[in-house]
Amino acid sequence: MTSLAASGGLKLSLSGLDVVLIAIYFTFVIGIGFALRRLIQTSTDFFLSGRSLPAWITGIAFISANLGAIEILGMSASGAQYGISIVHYYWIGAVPAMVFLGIVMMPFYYGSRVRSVPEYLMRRYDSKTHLVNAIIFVLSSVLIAGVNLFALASVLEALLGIALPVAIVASALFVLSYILLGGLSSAIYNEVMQFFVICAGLVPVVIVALKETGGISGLFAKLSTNGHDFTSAWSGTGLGGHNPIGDWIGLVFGLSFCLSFGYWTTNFAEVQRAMSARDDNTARLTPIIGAYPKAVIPLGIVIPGMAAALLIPGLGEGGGLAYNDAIPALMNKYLPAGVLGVAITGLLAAFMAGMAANVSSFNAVWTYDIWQNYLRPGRPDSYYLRVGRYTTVVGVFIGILTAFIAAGYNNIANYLQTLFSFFNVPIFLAFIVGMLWRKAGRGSGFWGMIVGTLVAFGTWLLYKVGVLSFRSDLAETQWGAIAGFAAGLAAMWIATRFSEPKPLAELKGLVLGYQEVDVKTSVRVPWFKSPVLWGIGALALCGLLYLYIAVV
Amino acid sequence: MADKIKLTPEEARNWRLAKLFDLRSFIGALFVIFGILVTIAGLAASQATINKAAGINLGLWVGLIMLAMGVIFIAWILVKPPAPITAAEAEAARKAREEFGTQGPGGH
Repeated sequence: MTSLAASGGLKLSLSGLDVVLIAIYFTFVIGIGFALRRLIQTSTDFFLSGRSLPAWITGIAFISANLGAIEILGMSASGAQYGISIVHYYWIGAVPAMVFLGIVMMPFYYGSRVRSVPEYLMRRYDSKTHLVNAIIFVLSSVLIAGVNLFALASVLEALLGIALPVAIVASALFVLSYILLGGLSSAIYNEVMQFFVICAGLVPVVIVALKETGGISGLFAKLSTNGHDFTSAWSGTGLGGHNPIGDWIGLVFGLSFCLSFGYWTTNFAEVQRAMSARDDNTARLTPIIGAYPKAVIPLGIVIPGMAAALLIPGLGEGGGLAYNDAIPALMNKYLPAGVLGVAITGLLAAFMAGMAANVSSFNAVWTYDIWQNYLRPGRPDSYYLRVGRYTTVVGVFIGILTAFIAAGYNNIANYLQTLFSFFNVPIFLAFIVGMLWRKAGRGSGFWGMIVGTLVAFGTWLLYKVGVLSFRSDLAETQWGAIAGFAAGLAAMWIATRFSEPKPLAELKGLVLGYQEVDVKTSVRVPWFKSPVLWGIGALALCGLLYLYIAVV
Repeated sequence: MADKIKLTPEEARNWRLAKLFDLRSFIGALFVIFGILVTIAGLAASQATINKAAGINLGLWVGLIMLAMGVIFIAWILVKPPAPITAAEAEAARKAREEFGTQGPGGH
C-alpha cells in the first residue's frame, strides 16, 4: 500500500507544444461528439464507424480497446517486476484461449443464435444463473472502471503535480462530461483514434529503450544481475523453484486454462463482436485472426517494461516510482517535445476510452439485464433511457471509489488478475460445463458460479491474512483460480444431482452433440479459411517466439 | 447495393453530414495536424534534444511518419468515399428514430 506516496514521484515535464497537442486531441473528440449530437439527431451516426473502416482495422482497435490501455501500463509493470516470464500471459494464455474460443466454443455461441453472452446462460440454465451472471458482471465492470480511472488519474497527477485523490475526482468529472457530451458515436471514434495515437507514442519508446540497452540480447545480458529467472521464461517454474511468476501447475492450469480461457472466451465485447459475423466460419476466424497481433504485442510492452527496470533507477522500490510508472517514466525520460505530447495524449485517450467502455457496459447490463428484467419490467423505452443516464452518473461515482482500491497496488496487472480470478473463472466454468456436459442441471450454473466466486475470494482473503502462502501475488491468482474452478465444478456436480435436468428440446444448439449446423458453413470452406489451420499457425508462432527469447 | 432508395430531405441532409463525419477524415486531419507540429519541432531540435532520445531525431521521424499516415487516410477517403446508404440501413435508422425519439441510441 505504498504506491499512493511512491507514484507521487513521477513528474512529467511537458513543453508548450505538448500541451497544445493534448488540447487539440480533446477538442477533436469532444467536438465530434457535440457536433454529432447537435447535427445528426438520428441514429445515422450509429452506423458510421462500422461502414467506413475495413474489418481488420476496427478489429485491431477493438482488441486494443478491451484491455489495451491498462495492458500497456500493467503488463509493462509486470515486465519490470517479474521479467520475461510474463510473456506466459500471452503465449500460453491469451493466444491459446483465443484459438480455443474460435475452434471449440464459437460454434455453440454462433449456432445457438443467442444475441449476448448472458443470454446463453439464460437459455442453458435458468434465470437465477442469468441474474447472478449479470450481478458478477456489473461488479467486475465497476471495479475495472476504477483501474482505468486510476490509470488516467496517475497520468494527470504526474502531469499537473496535483494530489492523487484530487486527480481521481478531476478525471472522473472529465470522463463523465466526455460520456454525456460525446455519447456513443464519440466513444467509438475515440476508441479507434486512440489506437493510432498510442502506437505513434509507444513505438518510439520501444525503439529508444532498445537502442539504449543494446537490443534485446544486450538488455538480457545487462539484466542478468537480476538473476537467471528474470530473463528466462521457464527457469525456476518447477514446484521447488523461486520464479515469482509461479510454478508450472499454476501456470498451465491457473494462468492458461482458468484465467486466460476464462477471460477471453466469455469476454463480452470480444465474443459479441465475433457473434455478429456474417457466417459461422467468419465468427470462428475472428478471434483466431486477433490472436496473431496478440502474440506479437508483448515484444512491444513486456520488453520496454524490462528495459525500464534497468533505465529508471529505483523503479518498484520503496520511495521510488511504482512499477505502474514504467512506461510513462520512459516516455518522460527519452521522448523529445512534441513526441512526448503525442504519447501522453495516447495514454490519456486510451484510459478514457477504457473507462467509458466499462461504464457503458455496466450501464447496459444494469439497466436492461437487471433493472428491466427483474426490478421494473414493462415500462416504456424512454423510461429505461432515463434510467440509463442516471446509471452512467452512478457508475462513474462508484468508479471513483474503486479507483482508490486500484491505487493501493504497485502493479495494476496483479490487481486485474485477482479480479479475473474472482469473476471470470466461475463464469467460464458455467459455460464450459454447460457446453460439454449435457446432463448439467437447470440450477447447477447458479451454484457453480456462486461457489466458484466465493472460494476464489476466500483463497485470496486467506492469503492476505497470512494463513495461505504463495510465491507472489500472481501465483495466488493462479491457485485461487484453480481452487475456484475445482470447487465450482464440484458444486455443479452436486447441484445436478438435486435439480431437474433440462429436457433435450430446450438444449438444442446449446450443448455438445446437439449443435445446430450452420447452412452456409456446410458448404465446404477453402483450406486457407480453415479455423483449425489458422489456429495451429497462431500456436506455432508462440512456440517460435518462446524459442527466440530463449536463444537471443 | 443496387436498390435505390428514397430518402426524405432530412435524411438526405443527415447522410451528407454522415459522410463528412467519416472516421477516416478525422484520423487524417488529426494526423496531418499532429504530423506538421511534431515535424517542425523535429526540424528545430537542438543537439541536446537529439541526445536525450539516444541520438535519434525522434521528432523528425515520428512527425514525418504521422504526416504520411494522415495524408494516406485523406487520400483513401477521396479515392473510396463511403458507400451510399442502403435501403436496409435507412429502414433501421427510421425504426431506431421511432424507438428512441430524436435522441438516437447515443442518448444513453
